[in-house]
Amino acid sequence: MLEVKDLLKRYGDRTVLHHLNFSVEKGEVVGFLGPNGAGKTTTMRILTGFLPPTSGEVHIAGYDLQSKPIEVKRRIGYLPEQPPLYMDMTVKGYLRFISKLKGIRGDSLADRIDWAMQKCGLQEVQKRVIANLSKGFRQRVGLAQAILNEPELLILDEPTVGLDPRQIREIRSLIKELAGEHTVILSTHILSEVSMTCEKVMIINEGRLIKQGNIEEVTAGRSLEEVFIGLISQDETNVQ
Amino acid sequence: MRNIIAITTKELKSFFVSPIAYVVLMLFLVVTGYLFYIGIVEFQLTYRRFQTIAQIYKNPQILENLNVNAIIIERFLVNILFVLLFLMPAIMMRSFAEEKRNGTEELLMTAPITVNQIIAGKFLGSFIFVLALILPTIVYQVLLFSFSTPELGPVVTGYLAILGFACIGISVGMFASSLTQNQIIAMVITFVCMFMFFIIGMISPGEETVLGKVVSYVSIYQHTKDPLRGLIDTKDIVYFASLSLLFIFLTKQSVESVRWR
Ligand SMILES: Nc1ncnc2c1ncn2[C@@H]1O[C@H](COP(=O)(O)OP(=O)(O)O)[C@@H](O)[C@H]1O
Ligand SMILES: [Mg+2]
Repeated sequence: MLEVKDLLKRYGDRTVLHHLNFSVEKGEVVGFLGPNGAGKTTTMRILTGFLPPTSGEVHIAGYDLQSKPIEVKRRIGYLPEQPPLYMDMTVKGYLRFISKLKGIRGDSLADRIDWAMQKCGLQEVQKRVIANLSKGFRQRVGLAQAILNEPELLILDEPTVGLDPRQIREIRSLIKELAGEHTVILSTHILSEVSMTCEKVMIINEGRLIKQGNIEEVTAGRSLEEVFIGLISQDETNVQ
Repeated sequence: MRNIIAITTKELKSFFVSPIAYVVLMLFLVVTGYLFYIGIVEFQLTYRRFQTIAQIYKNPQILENLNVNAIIIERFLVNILFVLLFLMPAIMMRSFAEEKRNGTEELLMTAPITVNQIIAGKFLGSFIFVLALILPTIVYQVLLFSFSTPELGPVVTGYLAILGFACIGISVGMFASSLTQNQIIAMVITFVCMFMFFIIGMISPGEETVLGKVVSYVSIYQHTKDPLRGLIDTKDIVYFASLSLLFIFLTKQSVESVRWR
């Protein structure tokens, strides 16, 4: 489904991603775990074609991102760190615009919008203007936008950041529900999020992938927190 | 094409839900209406003066030298240009700056559409808005045509020049707006840029030097003065098209470069 080879990203002369290699199989739910500033957002922006990599290759759903960006973009759904909303639109108006951008037209348009709104629990607010929605609802609108085209790969950048505990629970269960039908990569710096929603984990620190695998393999009986802290401090002593 | 229309429709909707659009529309109608009224009053005064002169010299033909086209219409159209010079920056400031601030730039750039389609959609949306702004002023022309007999040619070419000017304004505005997420900065850049094109022809260092040639090529004044009098040349059309395309090209570079940095 997703294959990343030797991905390198520099901003100026600062390297923020060092030769990342990983792959994600169809149907997997992968947690992309790392402290703030580790390079999660940068990686996701590259995967979605928003940022070009300095070097390296990305293949998604059998297409090369570099040479076939539109084909790739058709097959992914992306929720950026800051949900990309037009504050002056209504929920339904917004989703209609996104459907058109994603090439959903004709008879299926209304169905897809209804389906996405139903999935994300947006029916009661569909006529409301986005500016007047709570943060939790805005995040759901962002999610609904991402799943509209039934993407083969769903990329979610810190989907629960800034929400209150109840909203976090709702969004997590929503992601779990979506996980059945899509391949999902979600980034987070919250450990419990990974153990609750994902089967696989990739741990990134300072632009380097320091561990990846099934959660049970990676933790091997210990708590994920122990493993994570251990790996990161070990990584830091290595670098020094 | 459908992708372009999707963007255009969204742009138009967002123009018309923002209060700025209505402020701009109101301002435009009030100011142009007032200018039109002034034009009529001036014409009347001139007409009376000419009447007196005609009586003194007992020569009614003098009155025929009074030209509605030159005195009312040309001045009115020049005034529209001036009003647009001030309004275009405000109309265009949101274009890309707002997308950046909202984070929706990321949405557009990761959607299965091309940068060209985004720019074309935005251009078209703004153009239709400006058209909606200018169209009502045709009522004034209809009024003139029902009370007197001006020539139609200069009115048509004059409006074409205004639309050409608007295209440049839209392109410059998109470019400025793509440079920043601060709308006020975008507005100022657009204004300064347009203002330069506007005044540069008036302080021309003469046609002979290379600089003079460049200046007179870039000058908006040089390329609107003939159309406003009913003469349109391919040179002028090439001018409006090339300057617009230049800034559309720069917009594309700027939109893409954000990601290359
Ligand atoms: N546009 C940019 N220019 C320069 N450095 C950047 C830019 N964006 C991110 N960075 C740097 O890249 C690193 C990784 O950032 P990011 O991918 O946002 O991390 P994360 O999402 O894991 O918190 C950080 O050190 C950040 O400062
Ligand atoms: Mg981040």
